[in-house]
Amino acid sequence: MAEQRTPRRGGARPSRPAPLVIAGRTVACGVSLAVLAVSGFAWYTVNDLNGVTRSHALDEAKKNAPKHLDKSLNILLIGLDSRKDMDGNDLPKEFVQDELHAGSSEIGGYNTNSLIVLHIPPSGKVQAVSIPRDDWVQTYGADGKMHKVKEAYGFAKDAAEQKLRAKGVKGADLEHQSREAGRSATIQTVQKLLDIPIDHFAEVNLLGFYDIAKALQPITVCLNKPVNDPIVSRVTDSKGNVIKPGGGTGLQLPAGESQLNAAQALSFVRQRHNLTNGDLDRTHRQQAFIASVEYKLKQQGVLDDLGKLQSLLDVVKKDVVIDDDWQILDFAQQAPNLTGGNVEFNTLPIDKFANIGGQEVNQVDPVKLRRIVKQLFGQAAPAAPAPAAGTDAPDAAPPANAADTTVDVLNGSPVTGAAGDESKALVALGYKAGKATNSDTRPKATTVKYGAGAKDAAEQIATRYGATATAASTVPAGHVQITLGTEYTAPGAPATDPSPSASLQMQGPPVKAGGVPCVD
Amino acid sequence: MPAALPALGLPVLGALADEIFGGGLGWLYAACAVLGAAMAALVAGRRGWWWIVSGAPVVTLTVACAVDYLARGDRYQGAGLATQGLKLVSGQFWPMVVALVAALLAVAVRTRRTRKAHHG
Repeated sequence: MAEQRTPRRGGARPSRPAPLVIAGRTVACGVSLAVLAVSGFAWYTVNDLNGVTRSHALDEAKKNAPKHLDKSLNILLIGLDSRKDMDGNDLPKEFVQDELHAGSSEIGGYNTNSLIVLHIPPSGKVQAVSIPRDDWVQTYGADGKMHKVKEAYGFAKDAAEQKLRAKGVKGADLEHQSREAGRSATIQTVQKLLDIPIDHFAEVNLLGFYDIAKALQPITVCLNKPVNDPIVSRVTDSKGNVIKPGGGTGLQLPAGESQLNAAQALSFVRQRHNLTNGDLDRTHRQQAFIASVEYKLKQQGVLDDLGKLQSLLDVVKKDVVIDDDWQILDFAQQAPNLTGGNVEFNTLPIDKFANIGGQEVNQVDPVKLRRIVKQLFGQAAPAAPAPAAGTDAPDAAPPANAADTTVDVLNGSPVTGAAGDESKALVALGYKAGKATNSDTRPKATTVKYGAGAKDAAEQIATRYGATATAASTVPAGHVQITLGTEYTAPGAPATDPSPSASLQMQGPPVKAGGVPCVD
Repeated sequence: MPAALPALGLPVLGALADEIFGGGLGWLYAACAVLGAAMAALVAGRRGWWWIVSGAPVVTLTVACAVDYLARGDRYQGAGLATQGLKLVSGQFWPMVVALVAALLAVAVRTRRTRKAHHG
């Protein structure tokens, strides 16, 4: 901007600038200050949103994580049944017994009583799968033995605690660091069990759940049948040995919808006695509760409003732990996708109940679980043959020579643009882009053919479509040719069947979000 | 050298370099924005200082917004407009503050030198 020159007279100080110049400077300073103020407020807001306790527990799991086949996101939600605060102090006895209805501070240990994997695809329905807490599985990051999946956290934490104590770590630091080992073991165990990469996790403990419920109460839930779960006191002898284990939550609700306060909400998700399917019904309760909370958040506009989301996070941030890579803002962007009936909860099936070493456990077939999860998450065709028992499911990771393999995608499916989309997805996995065009033929099933030197890559790609790779002299060397069949549905996209789980064996019916689902 | 050259040129160069080599606005952009503001204040005339100092935060944010939008405009669609916008604006707060401080420091240095020259 040109400024009016002010003539000097006899060495006197220059006169005041013209009013227009002063006005311009004032506006410039005002705009500058406004920009700084807005940006400062934004910085404060983002910092506040990300002020939740962070954890490095995902680091170890990420080293061995299977590759993603698309731009989906897997989030592990961990419900930790601990009667201690984040620093390892017992929660007040009266609070645990009277308010939480969770027995005494001495019981419970560090069990992950709720494990839910949330799969958010680039488009389409969000799938949430619960892993029953008593599933008997190989643990990783703990002691490497078979345990109930809920116990991986506690075993790893105990082992880490002993080592850290020997190094002189104590107090709150000891609790924080040993819990990290527990989280890491839980994430690794789930990741290996289901053969899916865990991208983020969130852990909430008993107190956290209570605080969240208190911030949101009253919460509407719905029961198929009336429930009465009286509290039964634990009986011990003079030496403190348990003669008769206690139980019950004190929950009494009629059939149909009920409004719960925080303490009742905790009882609702913790009840396992006086239920037809015991623990497995409890899992459905947890799913229904999350669906009800999500519905309430949607109704109140919390998920669409950063300010409201921030207020809720302010209440719960002290009780929630998330991984250090997780940007709350990114999640806030995805949060609206989790509403409006776009989420379906399923419970992974168990094979049978068993008693191992005096423990009541659920026996599961990991190979079957992996296959179900892959199908549910849209990463394998429903017709994919089951791998032989005792062998691992096909690894989703591309082979080391992926960059040397060119993928040609021919669209013989009715899905417009499928060739381009598939080509992009495969390039994202490390393959070289080749042709992406329409096919002259319309095969029913997707076919995968390969030229010389591309067998490994072709077999890997074939697992994506549940197809078998075949050699073809018509395909150039180093190329894999995929012809999408008429039965093709994009991985992660909504299938023709509105519920991908409909044809899968699950533990009980799915719980659908988008309202207040009724459960037993 | 006209003051506008470092004031605008350096931030733009830094942003482009960050986008090409770093995959997003980062330290290089912030450093260039700060350096650009300081250099502009060093070469500008007395009357230009007002515009350099008050313009430093605005230039830093504007260049960041423009380059980021050009590089990944698809993220600013729908719900992404609020969240990505908030992320971008919040991320530029400290570079803006430091650019402003750098410009003020440069002005202070030059004023001191001028006074010394007059008195010396």
